Amino acid sequence: MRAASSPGPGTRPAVKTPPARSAGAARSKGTLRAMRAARALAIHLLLGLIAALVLLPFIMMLLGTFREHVDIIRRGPLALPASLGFANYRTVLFDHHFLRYYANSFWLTAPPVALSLVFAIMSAFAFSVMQFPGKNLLLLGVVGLGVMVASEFIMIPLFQLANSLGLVNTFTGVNMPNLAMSACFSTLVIRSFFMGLPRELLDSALVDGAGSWQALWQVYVPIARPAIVTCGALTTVWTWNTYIIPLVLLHDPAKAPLPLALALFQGQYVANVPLIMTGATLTALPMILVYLVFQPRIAWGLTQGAIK
Amino acid sequence: MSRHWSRGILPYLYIAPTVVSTLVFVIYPFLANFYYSVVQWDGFGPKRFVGLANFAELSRDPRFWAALATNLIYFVYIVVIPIVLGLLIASVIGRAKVRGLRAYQTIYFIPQVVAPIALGVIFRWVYAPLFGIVNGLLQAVGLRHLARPWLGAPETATTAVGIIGTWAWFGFCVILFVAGIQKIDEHLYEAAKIDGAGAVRQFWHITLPDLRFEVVVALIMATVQSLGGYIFSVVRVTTNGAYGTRPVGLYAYQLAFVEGRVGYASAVMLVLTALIMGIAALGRMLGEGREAAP
Repeated sequence: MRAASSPGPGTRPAVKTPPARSAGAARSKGTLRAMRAARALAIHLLLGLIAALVLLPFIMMLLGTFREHVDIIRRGPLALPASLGFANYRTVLFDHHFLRYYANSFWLTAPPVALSLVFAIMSAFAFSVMQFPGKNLLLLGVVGLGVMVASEFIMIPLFQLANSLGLVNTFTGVNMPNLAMSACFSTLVIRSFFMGLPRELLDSALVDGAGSWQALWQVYVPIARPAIVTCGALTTVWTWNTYIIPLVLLHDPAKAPLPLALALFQGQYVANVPLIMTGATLTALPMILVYLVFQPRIAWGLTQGAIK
Repeated sequence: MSRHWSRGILPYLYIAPTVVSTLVFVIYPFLANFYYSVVQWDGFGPKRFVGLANFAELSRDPRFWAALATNLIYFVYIVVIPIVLGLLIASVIGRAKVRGLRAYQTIYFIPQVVAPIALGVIFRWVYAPLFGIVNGLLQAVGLRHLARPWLGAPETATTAVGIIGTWAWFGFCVILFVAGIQKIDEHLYEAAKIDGAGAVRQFWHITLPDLRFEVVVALIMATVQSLGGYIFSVVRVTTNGAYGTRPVGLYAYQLAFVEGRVGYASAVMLVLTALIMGIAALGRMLGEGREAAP
């Protein structure tokens, strides 16, 4: 089956000398084709080399999780693991509390992302189909600015604010700014999607007796699903990977999400490479999976995110 | 039919969750930075208004200028080198039809979705003095004498951190530019060839102007990362700012949360904020009006 669908090198007639028409024309056609094939090969070698360079650190990380530290000392960093045991995963998840950090990361990602989508759907609807005083000011001055502000800009006052609200060392303190920033980003993306929908869509829903709330959730949201899913995937990746806000607000290690916990873990166990690589794998893998599932939407968003 | 929404509080109810949460948890802290930057404050006691004294101190602070210079080095490694290399490779590949570009894109974008902290942790091992990957490779090819503690010496640490950024961005730029070149109208190149323009002139007069938008996207994204939270996280987890690797953001963090100089830290952060937002705004102006390729 497999051999038939991918012919081996000897079975492809195109590679062999083409049947002679006039000898010269055949040769030039053949060389042209050979040149094109060589060029394609060179391009793929180049792109493949880059891919290998990009993947190499991740492959080393993954292989490292199956080794023991003494093995790295004895056989060097480049040796392959002797066996594929998951002992390091067990140690890191249970003895070093990464299972708890998973739970922390979940509570620091799922609720703010889900709520931010609801917030964004609502505000995108108002900002696209309704007219009201102050609309442009609120759109540019609050939502637009909210998208441009990065966590590091606000980390110092955010600590003071959380402190005065009693939100230091709470998930809410971290979730609120992440939720707001995600809601702003998603508002702009979903709004531009809503703006592209014909006005009749809304009017016919209203003629049918729907209120604006039903029109939004029963007509607009189902159509805008691709945009909403893209926003959800992107903000999930961003929120999961945040480090600065948890660093500033969560001083209790038991509340740390994975990136913060990983940084602390490395500081404590700097000598044990396999355990640290296991921690890095546990932190990185979920978002790589989310990314692979939502390709190419995330890829699109990563580039559009720049101009947000 | 929907006109009556113009009046009343209905639109405000729809936008309230987003607008209120943003005002409280994003805009207020953002504006508070301005206020903090003109006071002297340890973060807990009373604030003392000092006018622009923090900014005057900043202009004479060798630690601030050293941090800014470090950011400039990161800018070269994270922004300049990946973009130049990306343009070079993309123009070599040119308009040749590349099968499986999407598969390459999938791989090249992976560093963008992994937490910078995890990247830093991986590269701690890559650069480790004993049993590190780079030193292991050097030993394997008989260049043992070149092995060194890459992150643990002032001569190499900043470069080593910068190369993490080059690694993360380089493939991204290649894909962005290759996909952009594929969209350029073939007739432009044919006309240029008829006019006798060589490969270099074609690059300057057709490829580069038409890739303007893609270059701007890469420029904004990478610039923000070379100055902002990305480099902050990577540095914090690799060297914590030692050996001359400290960027401005980490300096501000340490001023505020280690040295307890919240007012001065806010002034430093404000300068960084202005820098990042200014560059992003400039980039947006340059790249107005088109969508990026992928």
